[in-house]
Amino acid sequence: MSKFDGGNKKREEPAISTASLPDIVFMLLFFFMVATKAKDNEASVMVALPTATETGKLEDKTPTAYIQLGVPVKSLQKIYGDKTSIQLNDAIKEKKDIRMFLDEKRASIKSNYSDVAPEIGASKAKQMVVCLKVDKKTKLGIVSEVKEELRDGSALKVNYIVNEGK
Amino acid sequence: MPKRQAPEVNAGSMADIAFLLLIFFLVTSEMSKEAGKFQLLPEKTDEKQEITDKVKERNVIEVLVNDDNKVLFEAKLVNIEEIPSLVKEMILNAADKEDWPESRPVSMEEVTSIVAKNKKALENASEAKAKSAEKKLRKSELRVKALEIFGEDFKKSSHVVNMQATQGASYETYIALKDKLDQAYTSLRDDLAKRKLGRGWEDLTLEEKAMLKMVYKENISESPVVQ
Repeated sequence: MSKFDGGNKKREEPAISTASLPDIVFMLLFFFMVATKAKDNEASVMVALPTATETGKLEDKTPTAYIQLGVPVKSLQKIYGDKTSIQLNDAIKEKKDIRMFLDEKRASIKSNYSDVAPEIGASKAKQMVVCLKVDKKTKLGIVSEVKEELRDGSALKVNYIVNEGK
Repeated sequence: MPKRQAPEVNAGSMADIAFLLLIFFLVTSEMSKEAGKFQLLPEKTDEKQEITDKVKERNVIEVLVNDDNKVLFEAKLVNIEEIPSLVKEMILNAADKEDWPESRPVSMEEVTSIVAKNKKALENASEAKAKSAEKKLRKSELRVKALEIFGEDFKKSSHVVNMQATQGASYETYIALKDKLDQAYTSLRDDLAKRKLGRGWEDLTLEEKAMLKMVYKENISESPVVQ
């Protein structure tokens, strides 16, 4: 026992090793990388989503295109006014641009598969789901006009994004 | 000369680097799963759509949202909270009212004959179509199973929920109404699941859910918005 309590009363506490701290942080980092995805674009319109209880979630690999409907954000109101507007990608666009937007999205889905399996790309483009993020105060008139455009562009799969809850 | 060891690399700043990366990802990303309500829009037809299969008036359940965001059920003003129970009652039509949607029991011969037909179709299907033919067969087999489990509760209802909205109605009410209609179906399925399987809708397996969706099949049609 003399080895342990031998005389030296002024022993210092050993410092806590921080060598494993990077590992912990990296674990956190990987969790967030997997559980989240990059924000796709800057908001040009303000969208407060409605709530619903009966909702579903799309499968992870489903190709999607987002269309936002709402009043432009404060800084853009000088240019676009304060009427409900349509946001495609990251800019405010007209209703007639929707068709082109859909074609662009389909083309970009196809190009992801163009080297390996073009036929998969074509079927993926067909499966594309249009996610509508619409402000809850929006009048239905414009929503249905957008839906008509989607039908014209034969994008029939629509997903209304909502908040889950009561 | 004494052997000198290579100095150890100080890993103390590794944590700082990792933290920086972590914060970068936190800021530039969002949670990927978004809840949504799915809808399949009807295909565009060139001519003015001809109504090929006329729906009998008794089978139509009318729901409407007007400009003041008030909900009308069968032309009567109702509170939106009442919609699920009202729709449920009409679809079930337990009292067999003459002006409420009709339904008829599904027979075993009917479903088994569909299975036989789909089996044949799968045998004759080309390679390209084999996948969808097989899917069809699985579905019809599941229908037989559903009939075995749910028996006389498995009815073929002819109801159509016709949902309509005016241009000035708000999107919030529209989604709320859609939600209430979905709740009506979920509640129907939940009731039957509790009665026959002893478990609620939430605790069912995917297959059981699929079967219940066959028993109470959703049939919501949306009319274009009116002025």
